[in-house]
Amino acid sequence: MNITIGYLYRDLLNLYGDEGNIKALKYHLEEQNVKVTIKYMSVNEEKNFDDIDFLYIGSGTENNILVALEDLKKDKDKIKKYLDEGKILLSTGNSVEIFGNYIIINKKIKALGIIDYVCMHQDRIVKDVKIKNELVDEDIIGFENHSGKNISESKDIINDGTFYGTYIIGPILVRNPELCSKLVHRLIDNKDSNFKYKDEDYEFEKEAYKKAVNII
Amino acid sequence: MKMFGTLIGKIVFRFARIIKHGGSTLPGTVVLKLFPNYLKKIKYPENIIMVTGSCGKGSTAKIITSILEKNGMSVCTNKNGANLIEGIATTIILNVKGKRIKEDALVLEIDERYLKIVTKYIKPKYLIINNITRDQPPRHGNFDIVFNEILKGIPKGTHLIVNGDDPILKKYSLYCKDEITYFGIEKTKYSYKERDDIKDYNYCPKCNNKLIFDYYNYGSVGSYKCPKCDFKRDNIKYSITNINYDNKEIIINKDYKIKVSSYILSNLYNLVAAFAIGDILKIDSKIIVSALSDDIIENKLYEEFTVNKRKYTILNCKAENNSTYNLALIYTAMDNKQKTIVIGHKEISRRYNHFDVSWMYDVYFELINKDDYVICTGPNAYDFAVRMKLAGIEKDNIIILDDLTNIKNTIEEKTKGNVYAVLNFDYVKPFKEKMTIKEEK
Repeated sequence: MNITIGYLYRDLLNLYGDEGNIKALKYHLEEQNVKVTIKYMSVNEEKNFDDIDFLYIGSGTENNILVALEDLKKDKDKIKKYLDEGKILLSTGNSVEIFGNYIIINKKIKALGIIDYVCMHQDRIVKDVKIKNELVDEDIIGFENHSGKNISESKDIINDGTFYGTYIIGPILVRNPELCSKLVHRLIDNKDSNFKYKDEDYEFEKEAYKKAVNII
Repeated sequence: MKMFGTLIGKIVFRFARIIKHGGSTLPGTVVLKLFPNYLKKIKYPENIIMVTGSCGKGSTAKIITSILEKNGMSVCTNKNGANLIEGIATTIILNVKGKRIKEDALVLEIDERYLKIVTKYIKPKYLIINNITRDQPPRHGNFDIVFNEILKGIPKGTHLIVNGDDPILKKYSLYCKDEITYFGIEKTKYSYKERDDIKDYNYCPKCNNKLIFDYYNYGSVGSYKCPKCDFKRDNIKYSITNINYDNKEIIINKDYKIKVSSYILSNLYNLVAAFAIGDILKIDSKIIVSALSDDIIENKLYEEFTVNKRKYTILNCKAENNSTYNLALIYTAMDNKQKTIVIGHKEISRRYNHFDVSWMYDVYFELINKDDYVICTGPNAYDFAVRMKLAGIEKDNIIILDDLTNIKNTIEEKTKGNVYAVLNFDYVKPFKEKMTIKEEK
């Protein structure tokens, strides 16, 4: 089986260890003998999501988020089509601002408007988070460090079935082994519902999780 | 005539010493509370040199001080590292005579976010910015924010001295119209064309086109140019033209040989920054070279020793600062044989109590060979272990220790090769104690 990961703006939006998500996903897909291809897509590049099975975008400086937004405007319909096909997009950190209706930073900046929410910049939010979410049984842990806030949505993870967006920064899939495993299964099941799974190894991840979840 | 503020400051200083408050910032705190304009009323020497940036500003200020003193100049400096406004005020209070700082020069290292506060009162003649890196993100946010905070603190008429190899520092030339002098490191045999690490700065700040790098020295530091506009590395007036690791020697501007104690690249950049300011002040190059070769950088970043016939190298890093780890790993990667890496910290930060490990994924641990041994230790040992696994290290070679209690036995019984302890600064002393290596002091 082949799975292709589309990594948007690795060279621009990579502020808080975001690439950890790609590393974790790749590792645990390969553990199942899946061949993983990573396609990097960035500024001023023609984007094609047709052969992408999972699309990822991470956090950046306030300025770089706007650069990416500007660049992605021409691809808005392609992203909509991608999501309509039931394929997953994960957006972590302040990259969630790109997909809402507006970003308010002193003035109102029109965003892609793919998901119905508005983000507004205010005092910086810096904190550990531990949240309950329908995606997994265990609490999801993570860290936030951003100046924007989603003012239309009180949930920490926006989930419309194919779009997953959260202000949690960085390696959320590394730190939450259950979430990573669920995602690996979903990506594989999407391609082959009769897939024979091998044992998965989350030993270190689970130990790290256990320790963190008790402290946070 | 003595100023009343100074008098109060000195009394507070004595009082603080009596009650053992360390006294490094309390006098400044009290005096600035009572006399907010105190620093404005002091007469400063003509040569005011400030150093700011994410790391190494203290070492750089010390090297500069040493050059000036070797040249026979007297220097007032905050060598205790108290680099916020209160610390700077304390340095002034303790050195002021009447209303004057009578020394020939004032050399200050200043916290990157306090520069704008300090320069409201004291105008630098020269400002050195040695680097802006990812550093303590919960405190600093990100490098663009730090760039802007520093920019707010650069008064008109300041002569900037910056690392021209770093595009984020070159960006100051778009905003600052006074004189700027660039230092750097030329392409050496350790430079490289491509590496899959996370780089801070890939796009042109003028036109958002992707910068083309002729070579990298680390991160996004190297020789860059924009394919579409005139933004590029150029006019490097002071540069290291050769690095000779075997002889522990660098050469500046093709002529000046300098003996170095530390191979870490950031340190070499600090040396050439100090060379630049010395030359700008027209100090005889022989004096500069002799000061730089004096091994005056305290061995804070790098130590070597032998225990039971195995070579140990301690590389002192800073958690939440990926460039310190990357520079240490670049150094370990020069050793191609199977080796042992020890990694860990006592706590991620002294300043706050967060549990953020995302910075581990900004560090290019992929430089470690698959068959090297890695001992992950400390409260985040398992977080490091996951990171190592994802970096491709064989799982059997990843050893986990909750703390340093059994580090010596573990290294000696379970690992092979030269040992590189890539440690947060708070684990260096405990590590040496466990290895029964005595402090030199």
